[in-house]
Amino acid sequence: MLKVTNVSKVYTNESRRVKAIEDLALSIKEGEFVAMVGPSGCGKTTFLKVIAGLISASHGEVLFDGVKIIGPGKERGMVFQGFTLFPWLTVRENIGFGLEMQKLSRKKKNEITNHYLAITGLKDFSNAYPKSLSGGMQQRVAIARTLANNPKILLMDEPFGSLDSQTRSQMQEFLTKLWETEHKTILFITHDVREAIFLADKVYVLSERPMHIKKVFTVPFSRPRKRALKRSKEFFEFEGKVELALENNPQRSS
Amino acid sequence: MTIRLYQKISKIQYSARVVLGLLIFLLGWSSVTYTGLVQSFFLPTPTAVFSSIVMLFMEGNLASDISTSIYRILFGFLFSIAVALPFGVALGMSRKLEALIEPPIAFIRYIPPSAFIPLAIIWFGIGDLQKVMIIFLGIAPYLTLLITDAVINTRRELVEAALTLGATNKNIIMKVVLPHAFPSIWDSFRLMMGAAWTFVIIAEIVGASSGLGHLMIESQRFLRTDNIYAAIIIIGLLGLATDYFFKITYKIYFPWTEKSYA
Repeated sequence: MLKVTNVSKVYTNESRRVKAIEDLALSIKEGEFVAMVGPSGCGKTTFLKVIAGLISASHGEVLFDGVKIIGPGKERGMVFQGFTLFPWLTVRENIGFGLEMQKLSRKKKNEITNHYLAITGLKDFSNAYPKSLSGGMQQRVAIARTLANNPKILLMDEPFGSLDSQTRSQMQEFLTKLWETEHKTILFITHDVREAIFLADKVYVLSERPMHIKKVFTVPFSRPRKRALKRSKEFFEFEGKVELALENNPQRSS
Repeated sequence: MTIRLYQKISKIQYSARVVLGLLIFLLGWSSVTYTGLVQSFFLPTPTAVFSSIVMLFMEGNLASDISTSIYRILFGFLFSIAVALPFGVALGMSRKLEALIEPPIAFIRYIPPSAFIPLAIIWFGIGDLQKVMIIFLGIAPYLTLLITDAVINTRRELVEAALTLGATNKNIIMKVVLPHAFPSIWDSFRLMMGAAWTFVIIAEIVGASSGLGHLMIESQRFLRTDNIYAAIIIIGLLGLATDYFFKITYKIYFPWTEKSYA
């Protein structure tokens, strides 16, 4: 469903050219949960924004369902790293933001909004403003807002990066459960190896800038996955393999 | 004194300080006038000024002077908003337009509005239209640039989020940029309202046949210091009232901001 062919991205500012992404190719099948792990600042966010259509690639192309991506579209929903809820809208209005622009009937709109309020456990906060919510709750609203729009693929840019470790692991469990029921195609970006393995079916290990794919792992753990999985021996061993691939950097001399 | 940005005090504590502040002001005024320290010709007693206000209401044209000035401000202000809002938003959204329009606006902005009065009298006479134009020339350029700033400050991530949710350019302006900018635009209105008062009084002092500024210059001709003070106090009170209006409506319209809690 998503096909990325030899995408490169070069930034030019006054003084120099920075190569952010180099010859990146991958494809994602429908219903797949793919994670990309890479060091901070390696160009992960840039790559996701290219797929979202927020920035354009310097070379190569991205095909989505066979059509070349030239701009943002609601079939490619994105959950951002920072808090991006609209502060002037309540939780309910935030979730309904995308639906508002689709000119759906009020009844249909309420139905969808209520559904996502329920599955994200936010019913009691439907009339609250984002400023009164905790970080974890805000990200849950952001996920609900994107899902309510019924995208074909969910692009997630370190969505739990700014949360404390306890909330983070709750959110990971929440997301696996969500994926197991909704079966959305998800492309999840993170710098946390454990997070990537726990969530995804396939893990791409990325290099430092200029970003390219170093190695691909297929995650062997069955679903549904529970938190206890993270404490198992198999998980630990697999994590070691992925981590090794991440650290191993032959091009680097220093 | 400790500085606490988010310090909260109760309504009663707040009101008590408001009353205290007024009392101190009145006490100072009384102590230099009732004792004869300052001649009443230069500074009348509070009671004298208060009775002038009553007299001007009963026998003079105070009520109509007040409504005339308010009416001029209202029209000047609405006219300014009608022009500044679309221009400010457009300037904030497009760098090309900014390059085209900002320099002339900045040019007008640096000319004191009072400098336009002689010209405005030739063009528009000394009636309401001329006052409205002076207010417009005085505040529209500032308002435009303040609105531009508010629009430029739109958080980029919010625009990106809206785009991935299927927003069109029009949606971005109407559903993201404007709602995001409105609290600071509302604050600009509050500040510019104060400026509008300044300009209408100046315009009325220089050339008018009605309005609070006209009342003041007339009173000066007849050496009625008490009436000048009466007009000053009325202007101050009306200014205070508009300020409160904007503060209260801010809290009602923008309950989602940090400031609305203070």
